[in-house]
Amino acid sequence: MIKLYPKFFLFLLITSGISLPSIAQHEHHNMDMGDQGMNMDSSKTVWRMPPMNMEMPMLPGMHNELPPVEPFLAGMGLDKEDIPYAKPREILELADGDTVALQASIVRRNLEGKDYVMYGYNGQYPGPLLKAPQNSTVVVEFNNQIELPTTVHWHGLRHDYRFDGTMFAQYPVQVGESFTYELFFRDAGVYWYHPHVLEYIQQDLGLYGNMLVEPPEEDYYSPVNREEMVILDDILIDDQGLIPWGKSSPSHALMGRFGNVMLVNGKTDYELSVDKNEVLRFYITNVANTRTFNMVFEGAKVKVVGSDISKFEEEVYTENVPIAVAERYIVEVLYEEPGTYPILNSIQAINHFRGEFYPHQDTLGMVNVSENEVEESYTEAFNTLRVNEDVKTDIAEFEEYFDKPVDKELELTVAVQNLPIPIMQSMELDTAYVPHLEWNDTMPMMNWLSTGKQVEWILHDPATGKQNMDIYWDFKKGDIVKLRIFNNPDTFHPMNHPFHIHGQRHLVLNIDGVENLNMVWKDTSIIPVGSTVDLLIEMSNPGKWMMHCHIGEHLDAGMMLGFEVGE
Amino acid sequence: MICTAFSIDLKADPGPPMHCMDTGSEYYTIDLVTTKNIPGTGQAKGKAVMKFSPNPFGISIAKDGSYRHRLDIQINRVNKPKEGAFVAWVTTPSLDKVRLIGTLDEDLETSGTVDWNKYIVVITHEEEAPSPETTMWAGSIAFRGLSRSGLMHTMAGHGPFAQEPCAKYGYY
Repeated sequence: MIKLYPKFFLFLLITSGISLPSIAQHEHHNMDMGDQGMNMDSSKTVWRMPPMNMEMPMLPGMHNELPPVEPFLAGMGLDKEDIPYAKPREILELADGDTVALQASIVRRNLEGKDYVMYGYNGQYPGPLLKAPQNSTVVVEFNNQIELPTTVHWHGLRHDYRFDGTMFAQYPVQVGESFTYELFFRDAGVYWYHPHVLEYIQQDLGLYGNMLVEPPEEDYYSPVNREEMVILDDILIDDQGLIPWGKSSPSHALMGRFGNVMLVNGKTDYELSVDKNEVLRFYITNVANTRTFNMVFEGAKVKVVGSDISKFEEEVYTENVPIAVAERYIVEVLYEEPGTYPILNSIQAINHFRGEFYPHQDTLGMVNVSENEVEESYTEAFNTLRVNEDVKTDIAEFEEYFDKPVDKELELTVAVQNLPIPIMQSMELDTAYVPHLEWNDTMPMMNWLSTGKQVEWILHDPATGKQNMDIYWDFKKGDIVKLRIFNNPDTFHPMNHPFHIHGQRHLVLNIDGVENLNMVWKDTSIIPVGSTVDLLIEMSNPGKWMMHCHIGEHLDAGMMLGFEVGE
Repeated sequence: MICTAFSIDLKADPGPPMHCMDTGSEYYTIDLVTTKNIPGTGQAKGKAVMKFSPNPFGISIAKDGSYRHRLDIQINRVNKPKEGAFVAWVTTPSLDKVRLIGTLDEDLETSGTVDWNKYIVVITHEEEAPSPETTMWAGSIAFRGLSRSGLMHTMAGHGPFAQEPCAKYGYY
């Protein structure tokens, strides 16, 4: 028969190989564990093992393990059919003194043809875009209609700390209750809002939105044909739906929860149609729990213009835009040739089983460039790299502090206890090398099983020996503070940390002693593994604030501290 | 002394000061080990310090996702041969690609950029400094060192996966 039908057998061989998904659930895992296990009961939430790279075997001895915390899914007990579909975001053009209503609620989302119960602000994905003039004040009447207490943090705003959404500012808004926020938009640029309670659940379920603060100067940025808001995210899904979250404590506490479905503005099919020689300005925000993206605009020229809280001192061209969690980058993009081009997340992933890097690309969206010449050409402006004298002048006022002694130090580390023995042994074997940055979930099973009950991520102050929320630094308004952060590679599982400082702005002075020659004001900066990063913080805004790692799971596994800026 | 928050001392007797090492992450620093093939290098030591190339994003990443490092290379305790030059190269672990980093100067230092994630630093002794277009060394290898990522090893067939049928996962 083989002799008679060799091509048919070859076909069977090929198709059988194709039918094996590269990402799936290992058959080894015990999917029937009674009350605690994965046998599906639609009336209650049960754990399901997240999808894994099928090229990697499951760690021996892990077949019956589940995260030792209660699983959580949104809207359990509700009939999915009764939950309204979320709508694409609206743009709210605001003026000084305006009041807007913002409600967090349970919504139904459709991703790639399947319905999921998630959360949304004002029933939208992402939340509404708040566009406001610089130096304006806007009141937000917030109402909580999700099933968990929540707050709203207005990420990057240097405004009144009482409206910062943290534990220093307010009690969580209970289910059904309301809170009034007053926002002040001090700096031009792109910002975002999200919960500051159980972020790793609520934000992952869709509670995020952008704010765009518009400068008064018409030529603040170069002229472009179009502006695009882009929010990057990912979400962890299997055939049966969303993988549950830990209710009282996060799962995925070691590396954070990587998703396996990429979202741009809450969708899997982001698409743009542009004309030939069109110049676009993208305001990019990474709202993922833990994933750092390396964004590539294929077929285009890209110029970096700004980041979190300002423009760069000088514009530069780039081939790609690495963006860590909670960071924002403003880039201008020129498409010169007709065609269809992907927007990619282009990374070198790690396969620990094979002990090797391998290239991996996710398609985030598609751009169709027409044959039609754009009506008004801004290519000349694009082809000019601007030197932003306003930013240079602003930063020059802080130059005298660049070489000052270090005021505060932090060491980033981790402590673990009671993790399953196979995880401990495997990680001890496999951490002879740790990368600067984790681009993918290199150990999905081990990561899933690690919870905030077993893993404590630590900000350690070597001057006092204190760590995390035992640290409470005192500063005065006007202090210029040099903070040195060392991400210790000699720990159980070191990892990169996107470090967010609330309510103030900072400069990255140097990384591993290499001076930063093109600065930009930031509120979140990446601290790579093994690196020492010096930040210069302008304590310009009185109040009670936080600094923390913005990986949602790390935050809920302890990695935060408090500080106060006095008048 | 490498500049970290907690000032980690190098091993005892590090030899003369290595100016290029005033900065950089100690964790990723590559030890360059002499082959003793070149007279005057029997007691020699060297380092290749990895730093991120200047960039707007804090961490320097190439379009394909590889890290883009600046390598500051220095060797010391060398009795320099009267003729020829020490030249630094990088090559992939499978030796299928080679790139010239640069010719070491009078202080036995050089710098260059590499955008691979796993590589070997090779210092050869060449009759003369190669042109920038040179794609392969011709002289003897004097020093070599593996990037820290070279410590990332396969678990297939050993350790916790000793009992796994590795062929099932495409590993032979």
